[in-house]
Amino acid sequence: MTRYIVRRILVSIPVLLALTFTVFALMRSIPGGPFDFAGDKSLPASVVQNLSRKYHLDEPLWKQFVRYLVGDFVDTMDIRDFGKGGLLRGDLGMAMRQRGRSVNEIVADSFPISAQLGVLAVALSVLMGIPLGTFAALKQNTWLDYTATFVAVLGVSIPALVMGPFLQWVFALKLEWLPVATWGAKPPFFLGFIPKPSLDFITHAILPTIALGTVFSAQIARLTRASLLQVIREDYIRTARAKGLRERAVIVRHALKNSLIPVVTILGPLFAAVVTGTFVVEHIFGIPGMGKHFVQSIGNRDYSLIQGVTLIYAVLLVIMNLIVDITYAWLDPRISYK
Amino acid sequence: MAVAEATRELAVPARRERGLWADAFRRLLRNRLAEAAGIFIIGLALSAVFADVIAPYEFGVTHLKDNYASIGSQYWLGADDLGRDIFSRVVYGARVSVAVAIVAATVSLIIGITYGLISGYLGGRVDELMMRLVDFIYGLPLIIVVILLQVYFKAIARRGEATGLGGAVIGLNAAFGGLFFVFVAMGALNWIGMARITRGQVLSLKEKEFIEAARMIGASLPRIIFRHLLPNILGACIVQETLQIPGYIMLEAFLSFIGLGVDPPTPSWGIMIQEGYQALRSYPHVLFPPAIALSLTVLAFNFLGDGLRDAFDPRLRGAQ
Repeated sequence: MTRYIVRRILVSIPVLLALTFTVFALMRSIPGGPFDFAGDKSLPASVVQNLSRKYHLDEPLWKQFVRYLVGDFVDTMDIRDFGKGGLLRGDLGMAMRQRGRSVNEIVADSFPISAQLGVLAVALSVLMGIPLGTFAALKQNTWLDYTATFVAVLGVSIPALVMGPFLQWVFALKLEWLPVATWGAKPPFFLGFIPKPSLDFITHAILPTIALGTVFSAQIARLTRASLLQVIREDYIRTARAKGLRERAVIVRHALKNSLIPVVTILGPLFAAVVTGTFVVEHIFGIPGMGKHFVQSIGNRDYSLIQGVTLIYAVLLVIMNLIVDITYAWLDPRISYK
Repeated sequence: MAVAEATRELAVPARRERGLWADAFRRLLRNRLAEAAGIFIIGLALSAVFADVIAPYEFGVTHLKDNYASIGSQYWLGADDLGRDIFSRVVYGARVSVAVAIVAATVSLIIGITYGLISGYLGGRVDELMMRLVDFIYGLPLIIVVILLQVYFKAIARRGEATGLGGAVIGLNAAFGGLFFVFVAMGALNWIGMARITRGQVLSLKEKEFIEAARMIGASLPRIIFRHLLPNILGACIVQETLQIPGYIMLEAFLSFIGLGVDPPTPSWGIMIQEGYQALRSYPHVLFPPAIALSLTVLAFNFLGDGLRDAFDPRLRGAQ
């Protein structure tokens, strides 16, 4: 198992490099640069030139990319400088449109908040989706099943950009039960991202969590139902029943555990995507998370920021997919890795 | 008597698997819903085509004195911040959603089926190589790539220097409200699932006797592919593509919401939701029409896709 994990991590390194290079090249092929505008005004050519030199944008592309990876080693070629800067040391560089701030600082500010919202939304979708799907499958072809299936289709059809404003209007503006927007937790966080469970945090988190989690809950419910319906017809379920296990044990220990494989398959990438921030929900609810950097930094041509946040997403995706594969082996004893 | 009893005994368990009411409920929710969804989509497509006739106002006409006019006889669903008729804009907005559904789905179908056919039929090392590429594209963060491409297309279109063929393409792009390229890009990035399904089908079909027979009598490769393989896999592919359409529509709404969609004043439901959301506190009537239109359309495509899948393969009922 350890060898398998190590090999998977080694294989993922070239993939991450290729992805970083793709974003690097695509961003620089878009017309315009990071210093075309300051606010609404355009900058004088001499200023743009100086700024470009400062951020090494006047260098050939390969050199810029190598500099991004290994830092100033590209200039000195002194082996003692190797690994002192750049990506190798976890340095994502200086943001180009937020002067004086490094990408690492921006990520450190916004990532924990996105992660809090993301974890809550994924937790909601698992806690809602799996029971709903199981319930529907066990009552297959009854009106309970049809109602649950209908609710699930309804859920996948209401995107967050509809759900968010709707929840705000009903629960914040009309009923005035919950705050309209903003986030209720401030740093420092326990372990870097776990907030104090204050009332402020909870009331602010409810609406965005529902807005973000609804579609995923419904997706997971549909998936659980379909998968459980298939598993229930397997021979080993018949065996479990034949040896006289209680129905509850058959379902929970044998059927449900195996039927979760497709659910886990989508949960991995879903978790990586949600935890790194979702633009729509964070925008609607005024949450200072990382989602906006994925969108704004492309429009701003903030090369280092978009490269940084994309890389964080990709690394998380690789880790989650690895965890998914390890979970398979636990859920289904027939799967093993060498 | 004995015969009647025996028949009842035979008949009853078969019926009881699914009670009368459950059966009726099932038919109502499954087929009727799919049917209703189909009718809704046809109506939507028609209103997109005949938006000029249906809409009482042109989508861009502003009546600044009537900004945020409420629902009434002059403006059926009220007016927005610039006094533009919301009903008319919702009707015109259907054009963008229908266009993305058609363009992205067609591009995705064509690329995916071609890729899967080649990969599955040739097999061997070619197949392995082609599937590696699929795995790589699968790992790309698609939304980021789509945003990148849209920013790129917008920057190119803003220059507007192309003539000849390039100019014609840019003109076509403008006719789609500045979204043609990104629709194509969405299709061109979402063919992975299609290619995998096609490949799987081809792998199982190509060993079948009728393909063997066609090869024996000397049918050419294109003939085998187009006359024998394609008709057998097209059903599954179209079902799969229908299930992907809600994703395209929501992605377009998302792009418009973040300001990377249609060029104003062309209406899209995403941009209207963005405008309505900003006026939510005082004028909620601006938000609801486009939000409901978007949700209903996505819902209709979901029901249609589910219904089509059930019709094609009843065993998969309720599968993803």
